[in-house]
Amino acid sequence: MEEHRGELAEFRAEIDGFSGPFDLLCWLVESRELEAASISVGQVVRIYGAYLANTNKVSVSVVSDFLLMAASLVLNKIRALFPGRETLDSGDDTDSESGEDVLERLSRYRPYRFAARALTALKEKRDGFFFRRVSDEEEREPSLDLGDLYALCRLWWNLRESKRRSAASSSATYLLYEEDEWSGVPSSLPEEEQIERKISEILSELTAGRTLRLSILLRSNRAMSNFVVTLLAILEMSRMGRIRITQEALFDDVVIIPL
Amino acid sequence: MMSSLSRSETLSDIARSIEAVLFVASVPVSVDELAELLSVAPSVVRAELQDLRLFLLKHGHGIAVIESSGGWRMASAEEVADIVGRFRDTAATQKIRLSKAAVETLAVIAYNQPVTRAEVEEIRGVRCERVIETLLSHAMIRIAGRRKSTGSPLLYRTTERFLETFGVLSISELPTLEELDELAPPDEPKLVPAEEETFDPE
Repeated sequence: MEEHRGELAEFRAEIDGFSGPFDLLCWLVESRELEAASISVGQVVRIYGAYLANTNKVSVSVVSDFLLMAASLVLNKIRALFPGRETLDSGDDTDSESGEDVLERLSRYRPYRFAARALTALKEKRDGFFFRRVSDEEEREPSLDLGDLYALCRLWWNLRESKRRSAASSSATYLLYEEDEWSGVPSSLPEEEQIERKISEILSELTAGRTLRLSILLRSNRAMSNFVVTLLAILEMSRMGRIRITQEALFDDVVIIPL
Repeated sequence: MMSSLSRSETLSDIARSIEAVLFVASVPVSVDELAELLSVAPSVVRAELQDLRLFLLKHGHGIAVIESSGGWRMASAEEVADIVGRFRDTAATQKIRLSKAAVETLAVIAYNQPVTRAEVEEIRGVRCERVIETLLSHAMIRIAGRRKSTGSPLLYRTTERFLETFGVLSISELPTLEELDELAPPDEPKLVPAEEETFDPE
């Protein structure tokens, strides 16, 4: 049953009928001696995989057995975690629940059937009214594929519409084609232009030949966008040979020295 | 508040203005928007809207003003629904036809929102994939994010269009499930949920 070999005294256990501890574990799970849900499959596979790798004499057959057993363990764990899965997949609208379960489900569903009836009655009443027909463009709803993106767009459109309305009501001379909807909204600058501006700004600070610190450059505006633009600007200036950047220690302030 | 209609049989200037705005509006107009437009308090607009509604009703007009989820709007009067329904512009264009399965699925979503498809199926006991697709395509429900659980399933909610279609101002206006259950007769036969794509013969 056990075997001692060489000075390293390698310990090897073999059990009749099983090709190793992993096989034994799979058998215990399949025979419900062990609860599959309580086993960390990832950890077991990692340990056993590492053990096989360390033996340095793993054959294709051993690897295939290992994969087969790992898959079996995963399958058992899935079954343990999703006990109702088979029932759901087994048929479209039919199920094999016991009579009590069906009665309980129907009892739970009862109020929804009445709710559906109430909704149908409300709709019948509502169908007695007809409204002005909106144009096809207005009626067409965009398809809803991603999260709440459409609701976000609609919020934005409504915001723009309310802004346009308030502008129209506050000024009697509001022109239909006046493009003032974006007033107050900062216009976006291309990245290159932003970096060029920042370089000019830093250069003007460096004209006296004095050194600068990154913390001082960021003092007036601590926004993330300013940080990114400033960092890109000093890297670009360093590449151009206009400055030298030093940092005494890790997480220390960055010193910018003009060249 | 003494309404202007009870004092005379004509509409006030404000009510006439509201009538004109609702006539040209293609979507519901809120009380706040009307109040801002007419430079009067929202309470005045509400009172004038009631006057206008009663005036149209009392004088047997073919049109009516009704309140919907997004505000007030003008509609054809209920009494002339048959005729208007046969008119070429409205026939088979405005009304959404919903199957029994679709209405039941909507009921489950409305009372449990936000809800996943698996939860709807759990309650209904049948698969609802196609019904949900149909409801999405008719914008009766919308995707409202994902549940933070295994598989991150999509969550569904009812839309403004749902409220419009069923003529309710908000979900809270619907009777609660407990109230509905109490209203049901005790010998109500227990029926299975309507299966997918089973359309109402109506």
